[in-house]
Amino acid sequence: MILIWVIAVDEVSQEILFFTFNAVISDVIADKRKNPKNTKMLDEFQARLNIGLHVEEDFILWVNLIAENGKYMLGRGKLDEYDLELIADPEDLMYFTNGEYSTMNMMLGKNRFGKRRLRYKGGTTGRNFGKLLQLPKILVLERN
Amino acid sequence: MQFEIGWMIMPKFMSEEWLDLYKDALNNNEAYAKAASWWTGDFVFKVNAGGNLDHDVMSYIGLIHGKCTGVRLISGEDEFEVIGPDEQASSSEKLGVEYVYEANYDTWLLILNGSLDPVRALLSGKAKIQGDMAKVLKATDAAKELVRTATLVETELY
Repeated sequence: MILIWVIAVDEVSQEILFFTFNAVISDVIADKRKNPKNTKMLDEFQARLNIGLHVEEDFILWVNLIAENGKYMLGRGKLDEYDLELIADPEDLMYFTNGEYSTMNMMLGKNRFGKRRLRYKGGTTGRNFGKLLQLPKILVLERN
Repeated sequence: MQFEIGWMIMPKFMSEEWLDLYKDALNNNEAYAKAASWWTGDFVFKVNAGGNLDHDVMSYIGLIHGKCTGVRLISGEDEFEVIGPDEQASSSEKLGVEYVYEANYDTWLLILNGSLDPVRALLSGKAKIQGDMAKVLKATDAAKELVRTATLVETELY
């Protein structure tokens, strides 16, 4: 019997994905904090990001990440005032975080939907590409 | 619990016999041994009732440095506890595991027949994991092999 994966991104799946992504962000930041060299950078990074998790061809789950005073908080939905808007397949974001995909690979490569792996644009506060360039330092894990 | 087709006996998914075969398959999987050579951290696989499966099924998978150290069926959530690396379970009667990978039976079927990647299942909200995500993200190849090995075991489905 051949089973075909038909995704219905129902509310339960959205909630689980949000929970998983939240755990990824908090555990990655905690892992980076194990290296004292990262403390200053993690504490000083300030950003308000709208992140679109492109889960299916026609479905994006919007979450927001606020980095403020060393705290990183993930919320559901979009922020009205934000610095950057990013859209990526969460799977590609994971490979970015574990270092398998470089920043260039994310910016230039295509995802399984035929779109750029990382689509980005400035926010209501400006272009803020400096913050974009800082993201690998914040979100990419260090290999032990 | 076994199902016989001619000379071939296939164990039921996640039965004791199946788990023993899975352990052997993992220990013979060179790709897993290589990808998980640094890994320490036991797993619980949880299959939630759904489709033809009318009850939850859980199993313990012991994993150290690319080898499976043991497997066993778990009858209830009170039998194990999710702990951090180098931590001990709060009671000697409980198994301390670092991760629980959980999905409903229909999702497991898709994973077992190779049409759904276990990592994609996680990042589409079809499966969930408890445990330190940073550590498991550093071991995605090992995690994939861990689950892919299950597809190598001849299995009778529910």
